[in-house]
Order: sequence, then structure tokens, then C-alpha cells
Amino acid sequence: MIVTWMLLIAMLVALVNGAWNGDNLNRCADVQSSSPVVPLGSPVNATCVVDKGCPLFLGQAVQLEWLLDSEVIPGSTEFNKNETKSTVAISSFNHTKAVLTCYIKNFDQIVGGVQIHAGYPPEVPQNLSCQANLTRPISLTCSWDPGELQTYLHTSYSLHSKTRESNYTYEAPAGVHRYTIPRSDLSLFSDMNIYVKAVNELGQAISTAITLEPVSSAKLDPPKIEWITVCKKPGCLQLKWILIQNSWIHIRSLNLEVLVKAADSSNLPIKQIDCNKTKNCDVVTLRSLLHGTQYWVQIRVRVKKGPWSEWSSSQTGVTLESAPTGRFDTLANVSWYRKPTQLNISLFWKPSKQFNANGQNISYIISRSHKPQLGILCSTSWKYCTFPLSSRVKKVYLTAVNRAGKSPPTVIHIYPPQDQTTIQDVTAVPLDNQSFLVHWTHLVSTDLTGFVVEWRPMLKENLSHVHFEKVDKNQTKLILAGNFEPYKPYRISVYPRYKHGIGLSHSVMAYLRQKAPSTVPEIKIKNTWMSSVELTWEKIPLDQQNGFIQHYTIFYWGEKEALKVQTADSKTTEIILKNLKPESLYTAFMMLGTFGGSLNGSTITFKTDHFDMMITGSGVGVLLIIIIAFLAFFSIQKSRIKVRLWPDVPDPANSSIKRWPPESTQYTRGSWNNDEPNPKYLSHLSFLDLTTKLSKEEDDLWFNSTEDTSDLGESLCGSPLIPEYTASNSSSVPYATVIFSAPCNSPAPEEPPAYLRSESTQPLLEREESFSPQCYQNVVSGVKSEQCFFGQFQDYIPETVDDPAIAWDDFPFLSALSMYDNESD
Amino acid sequence: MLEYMCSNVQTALTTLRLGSRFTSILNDSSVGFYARRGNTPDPAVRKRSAGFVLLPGCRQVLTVSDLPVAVFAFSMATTTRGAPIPEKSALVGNPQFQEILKDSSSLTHKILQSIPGAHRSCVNVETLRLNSSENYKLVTLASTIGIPSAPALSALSDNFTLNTMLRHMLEGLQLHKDLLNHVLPRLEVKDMVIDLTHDLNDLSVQVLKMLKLAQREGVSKPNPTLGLALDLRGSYEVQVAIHLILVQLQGFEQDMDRCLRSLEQNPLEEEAEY
Repeated sequence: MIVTWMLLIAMLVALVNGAWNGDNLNRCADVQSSSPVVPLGSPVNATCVVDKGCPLFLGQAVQLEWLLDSEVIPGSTEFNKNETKSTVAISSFNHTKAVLTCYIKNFDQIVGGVQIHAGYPPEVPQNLSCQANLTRPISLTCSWDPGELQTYLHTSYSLHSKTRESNYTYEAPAGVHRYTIPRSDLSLFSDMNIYVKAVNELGQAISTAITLEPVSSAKLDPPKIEWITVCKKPGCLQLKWILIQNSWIHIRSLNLEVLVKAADSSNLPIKQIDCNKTKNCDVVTLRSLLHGTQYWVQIRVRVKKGPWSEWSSSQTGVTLESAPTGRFDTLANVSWYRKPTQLNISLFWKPSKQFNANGQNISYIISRSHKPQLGILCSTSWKYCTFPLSSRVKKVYLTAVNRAGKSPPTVIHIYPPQDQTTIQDVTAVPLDNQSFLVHWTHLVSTDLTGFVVEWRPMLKENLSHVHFEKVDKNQTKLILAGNFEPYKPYRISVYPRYKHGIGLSHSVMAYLRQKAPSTVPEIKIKNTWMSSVELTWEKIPLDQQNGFIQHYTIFYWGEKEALKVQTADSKTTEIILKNLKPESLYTAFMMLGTFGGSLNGSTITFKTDHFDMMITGSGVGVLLIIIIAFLAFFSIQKSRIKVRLWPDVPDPANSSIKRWPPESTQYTRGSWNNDEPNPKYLSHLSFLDLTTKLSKEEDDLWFNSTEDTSDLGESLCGSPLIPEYTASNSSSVPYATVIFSAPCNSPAPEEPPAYLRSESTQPLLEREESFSPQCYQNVVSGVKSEQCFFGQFQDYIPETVDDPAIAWDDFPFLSALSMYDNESD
Repeated sequence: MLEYMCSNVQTALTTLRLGSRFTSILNDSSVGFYARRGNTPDPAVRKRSAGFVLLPGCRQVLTVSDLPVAVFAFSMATTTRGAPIPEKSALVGNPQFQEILKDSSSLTHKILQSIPGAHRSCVNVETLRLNSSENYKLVTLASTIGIPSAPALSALSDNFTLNTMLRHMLEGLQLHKDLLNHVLPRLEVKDMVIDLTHDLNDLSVQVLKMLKLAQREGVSKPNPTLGLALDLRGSYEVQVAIHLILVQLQGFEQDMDRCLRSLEQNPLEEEAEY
């Protein structure tokens, strides 16, 4: 190896010395290929000859190799005395550009190489076209299509033009497939033969030649309509036009197209005018137009057979008016206004095919007489009218009127309303997104003469939007072609026509196209329970539905819960989401869908209850019922027991001087009742006439005989169960005896009566416990704390009263006596 | 008839005044007629008028020396109104000829429309105006510079055949093209004048086509005008030269337009109908 390197260095030194010494050194190796440019995929052959004169010449010892770029490819080497020749054959050259080099492996030296390009010959240029520009600077621009196939080689395109006088060739810039021929090389009115030639190293291709006259290939600027005027005869307009930019072109070299559009947007057929055949082509007369009709006119021009210019801006003209001609198709919807004398008529009409308004400001008159000026029922510019009519009138007349005159009247027969119908079913399906196909079925009827199909947009109230079509009785379907708007609801009705009127209709709603609704109802939470929630919403307005609402879909999910879906049909407005977790936060939203799409609403969140109010409430209710029942039962049982064990003794505390009857014992109302001021509850009241003498004795008797008072005194008020009281004296009942110094029926004594207080040990009946009358309240004046004898005093705020005369009121018993006195008086 | 004659003569003379006989008109004081009816008469012409002849039936005064011109003008005016001419019927009916005629007419109009723009673009001396009445003052200078007059164009007659007319057209076009090309190197703004030469060239091609149809043999492209040498010493001479060439070209094209229109065959339909 070292020897090889030393040898190589020696060779290189020799080479360098040779160069410096100016020796005419031969090339070390000569590499030749079959062609430097080859078709892609074709075979390539190359030879590398290393001459004996080369310092690297090693004879048979040499190791020659071929490299295609950096890839080693096999070759065959031949040796002779003077040279070593290596040959390589590449069966298919698949590189668009590659370097094939000859390499001496012994010395690791590249001694020669060739660069090989591969590609395809050019395709024939296609679609050669030229268009002249007649505004300064005048030129002719030609363009062409080089073809789909990439050649991978530099391909030049040249444009060749040939006229009778001269020939020109133009080289298109690289990569540009168009060329603009300057004015100097153009002959504006001479035919030019033009073609494109594509050339690369593998060949050339010539396009099909085109012959054109530069002026005729120009696309002129749109002409201008100078004016439109009305001819003297009806149905005629005249227009004058000019070319703005290229007015020098002889008018008879031009062709003209006229586009006439009526006011109702219907286009008349485009008429082409060859100006070469007319004397005054710049003035065009438009004949056979409708009378009194506005027309919009546009024109465009071209030179000979060249490209058309754009349409001019439109100009309008109105033909002379004449009286309307033709009749109307009508639909009379009749209903009773005042049966059987008055009818209500809704009359709709539309021009028949033969009708011509012949004017612009047309109005309509409905009259009872065929003379429009007599018995006018309605005069309108709309194509409908609603009016009352006597049921005796059998015919009305419809006349169209414009400034030039009146149309012949159209007779409309008025029949009373028919209550019958033979229409069974109506369906309407959209057709081509532009029209509806209406289909209906009907019963067989001998009176049937045909049908009327009526349609109207549901979002427009005005009756002018009502359309109708009359069809034969043998027909059961109709295509409605009109200006239907997508996403808007239409009501389509089919009426049967009878010999004597129109029957009841059958209607359906239809959409031409549907899309997602414009809005989604807002969900509201109606009720929330432990495991369910009731949601409610309102239906969205018809104009926002954009189609038939399919159903309401509620998507909801809780924390760490999968999404759940529940749907409700389109007629409902509430839904209950069940199987929710208690006290959990849920998120929900509504998706509202039509057959054309769906829209999601905003999300709401709700939380289920901790406990179920309903269940709890019902449980508590049941429990209460049980308790009440138990108590009732127990009280019934207890009273029976009591009746058995203890005799029924009246309750003195529950006795009243006013309400003495036995039922007063069952009085359970509270003692504080303002409706009955100053109530007095007495158990028993006895009046004794005592002599004055005995009074002292009685006093003593009272004071001395406290043990036996059950037959004398009665309890006044209070309950023995009053806590304070019962605590101190649980086994006795207080009694009081009042002793007057005068007889009962005598006037009030001058001295205040004396009273005696006592207690009884006789037990009271249990039912007295059901109420506890409060302290007596002296409504008239204040009371002292001492006034609460037998009851519980709670809210009363005592006042200090110094008047000793009030002492009578201190005691209800005494007060009752006072009342008794008054009554006696 | 006399009124008709009078108006035709007036029209023809007015158009010829700065037309093909530009130089001779400006040099020859005999052309001293003016029309009293209509526009203001050319004071230059009026100044040179020696005597006047009143044509019967019209209020126009012509000098005696005007008569030959007037006769020519009248004859041309009458022929453009469709008077029978010997060769016209045979060739005018040829659709190909008519087609070339239309194209020639288009080019003539194009040239006539381009001349004012070209004049504005290259003539910057304010006194040199295209349709000025002062142009007669430049007759001497035109002669000094060496601008030859254009070939005469007249109505078809036995003496002025279609071939003659077309040949004169061809010569006139070539002359003006050569004149413009002579002046062109001296112009500062050339674009519009170059365009004009292209249009003249195109029109020559069309006239040549017509001539080939009419003559069939011995027709070749016109040769450059022999002996054309303009004496353009200073920029003023250049300005005057281009001005006078354009004035003369305008007149020549107007004559051409009339001649071409006289050859047109009217279509059958009177008006375009939808």
C-alpha cells in the first residue's frame, strides 16, 4: 500500500513537473458516451480508454471501474499493449441528469467522465390561440399549452408567423408559453399563419397552425347604447349604439347581438345582426315587443367571426301602451258571512297565458256588472280581493285597467260554500331544490270537475303571496314551479272543484330545503329530585325552525360519568332525566335537529338533591298519618277507659256564662279571642239571696268550712294543670264564693262584695287538659299581675293601675256577675 | 339641381383644399374660391383672389382660375353619390373586393383618427396647428424642405380609372410613409408616428390587394419614393416638416376615404331589426 502511494505521489510530481515545464501532456483517459442527451429509460453505452501515456497506466494490473454519480456500475475492460479500454452499458438510463465517471481504483483516481442528460422529446404544443389588443400599443398575444409531459430537458418554444408579405420568428422566454407580437410585425387586416415550434435536444414538435386576421381576433370593449327611444307604433323600440374605443372599425365589419329582457326578467331570444347586410347597423329597431312594457336591452359586438365583447351596460325603454287583452284564471274561496244571505268572497286571480297587460300601471276592478264602472265590488292593484257579497249574486266580473283602456271582463261564477271534500291525502316533496311535486288522492265523485292546488308561504301573511293552479280532474299530481325559498315553510292545499263550487281543502306543510334550526330552545329546570330532573323548554318560532323539527335530544353527563342521551319527540316540551346520582353536578345541552341539520344549544348545569323531597315528604306524610291515627285511636280508647273509670264531671274551667250548654265543654279554641271580648269561663254559678244578717255568718262559714265547698262554689278559671299552680297544689282546684251585700236583683251595692277563695281536692276530668285557658284578660282596662289567678300569663305586660274601682274587673267571676246584673236590669 | 351642384362643389372643394393638392393649392393663387354660405372663408385664400364667378343657383363666388378645380370637385362629388362609372359594376360586386374595401376604409379611419394625436405628440411649436388657416404661410418652407405633393385622387372616370385610383392611393401611401420615416429619426417623441407608419403600411397592403383584384397582373409592392430628400436643417424645419406631412396626409386620407366610400356597395336591408 505504501508502495502504491509512493508511486502515485511520484506520478503526480511527474505530472506537475510536466505541466510546469510546458509539456504537451495527453489526457490520461478519454471517456466517450453514446450520447450526452438520451431519452429517459433508453440504453447508454460509454467507453473509457486509458492511454499508455498516462502515468496511471498499469496495463493488466489496472482496476478500472465506472461510477454513475456515486454508484459503482459494472463494466468490462479490454487490455492491449497501448491502452486499457473499459466499456459500460447501462440498459436503461433512469436519471434525468447524471455523471458517468471512469475510476482507477488502484490509485483512487477519477480519470474522466461525461455528463448525461435524459428526458423526453417535446410534446406537440396544444391549444394555440391568439388575441389582438387594439388599444395602444396594438399587439397580438399568442399562448399555447406545452403539454402534460415534462421533458426534463431545456425545451425552447418559438412562435412563427407568416403573412403574405413577411415571416417572423419569435423565441419565447424560458418557461413562458406565450408571446406578444408587436404592432410592427402585424398586418391588421391580413391573414397571419401562426404556429409554435418546440425544440429540445431530443427533437422538435410543431403545433397545428392557425390562421387569423389580427383585428378579427380582438375582443372589443363593450359597446355603448347611446339611447333607446319609442317608435310611433306600439311594441317597438329603437336603439342607437357606438363603439367607444375602436370606432375606426368599419361598422359593416361588425356583428351584433341584442339581448332583450322584459321587466318580469324573462329574456327574449338573443338576436344576432350581421351589420354587413344592413345599411344603418348602428340603429337597431326592436319590434314585436309587448305593449306598454319596460324592456332592458344590452348589446355586444365582435369583428367578423372574432370573440364577442362583453355585454354593454343595459338601457331601458318602455313601449307604447294599449288596453289590456286576454282573461284571467281565478280562484274564489267562498264562505258564509251571514248565512244564508251574505257570503264572504276571497278572490284570487292570475293572468292567463293569453293575457297581456299592455301597460305598466295596471289595476283590477271586480264588479257585479260586466261594465266595470257599475256595481264595483273591489278596485285594487293586487291580484286578490276580499269582499262580502249577497248570496243572490251568482256572477261577478274581473276587468284589468291601464292608462290606455280596459280588458274584456272575465266572468267569475260564485257558488255557495261546499262542505264536502273528496281529497283524501296530500303529499308535497321538493324537486330539484327548485320546485315541489304535489301528489294527492281522492274519492270518486261524479260532481268532481277538477282540483285547485294553492300554495302560500306560511311566514308571509299577505294574501298577495297566495298562488294557485287549476288542474284537470284526471290529474293527481302537479309540479309547483315558483320562487320558492329554501328553509321557509309553505302551506300547500288541494281543493276539489265541483260543478257548483269548491269543496274543502286538504293541506300539508312543506319545505323546499331544510337546514339546522337557527336557534335552540333554552332549557329550564322545572323540578329536581334526588335521582332525576325535569327539564322544560319552549318551542322555537316557525321562522327559526328552518325545517321540520325531528326531535329534541338532550345530552347530559355528570362528573366522572359518561355522556348520556335522551330524546323527546317534536311535540313535547319537557323531559325527565332519570337515573341520576344524588347530590351530583350535571351538565346538559339540547340538540335540535331538522332533516337538514342540527344545532346544539347552550349548556346548563344542575345538581340533584341530597334527599328526595318527594319521597321524604311522602314518608313524613305517611308517618304523620300513622301518628294521627294512632293518637286518634289511643284517644278514643282512652276516653272509653276514662268514661269507665271516672264519671264525666263538667269542667268548671271551661264554663262560660254565655255558653253554658254542655257542648261548651268541648270548646277547644284558645282563650284569647278578640271577637268575643272579655270571655268568662265559669263551671257553675249559683245565686243565693242572703239576708244581711246572715252575711257575717256566711263569711265565717266560708272561712271556716273550706273542706266542703264542692256544692257551693265552682271553679272560676284556669286549669289545675297550670305549672305553677300544679306544682304548689296539684291535688286541689280553686273555688271562689262571692257575697254581695244586697240582693241579686237590687241595684249595685255601695260596698264592694266580698269573695272567698277555696280549693277543692276533687280531681278534674282528664279532658280538661285539652286546653288551658290563659289568664283572663281585662280588655277594658289594664290588669295587675295579681289578676292572673288560675291561668298562665304569658304575653301580658302588666300596668300599674291605682283605681280601686277596677277591683271588680280583677276577677272574671265578678265581672260575669256584673254582666248578669246588667242582663237582669 | 343647381343647389345640389353647388353644395357638392362646396363639399368637394373644402375637402380638397388641404388634400392631395395641398402644395399646388397653397402655391397657386388661382385657387381663391371660398364659400360665402357656411363657415368663415379662408382669409388667405380670399386675399389672393383675383376675380370671382358666381355659380348659378348657389351663393358661392369662384375665381376664374378656380374653375378646373371646381369642375374636378364637382365631378368627384357626383361620383361619390353613386353616378355610374365604367369599371365599378364589375368589381364592386365582388364580395372579396368589398371585404378589402371595408378593411381599407377601417384603416383609413384609423389613420384619420390617429393624425391629431400624432401631431400633438411630435409638434410642439404652438403656431403649427393641424387645421389652422395659417398653414398657407408654410408653402415656401414646404418647398424649401422638399415635401412633394401627394398624388391626386379624383372620382372614377374614363380618364381616371379604378386602376389609376388605386395606384395613386398606393403611391400616396408610400410617399407619406417614406416622408414620415425620413422625419422620424429627428423626432423626440416617435411612438405615435411609428404607429402611423404601420397603419399606412397596412393600408398599402389592402390597396395592393384591391389592385391585384383589379389588375390581376403586373402588380408589385410599391417601391420607395425616388429622390426623396428632405432638407431638415434645424429643429424648426423638422417641426414644420412633420406638421406639413401630417397636414398633407390628413387631406390625402380624406380623399381616400371618399374614394373608398364611392366604391362601396350598399347593403339591401335599410335598418337592423331585432
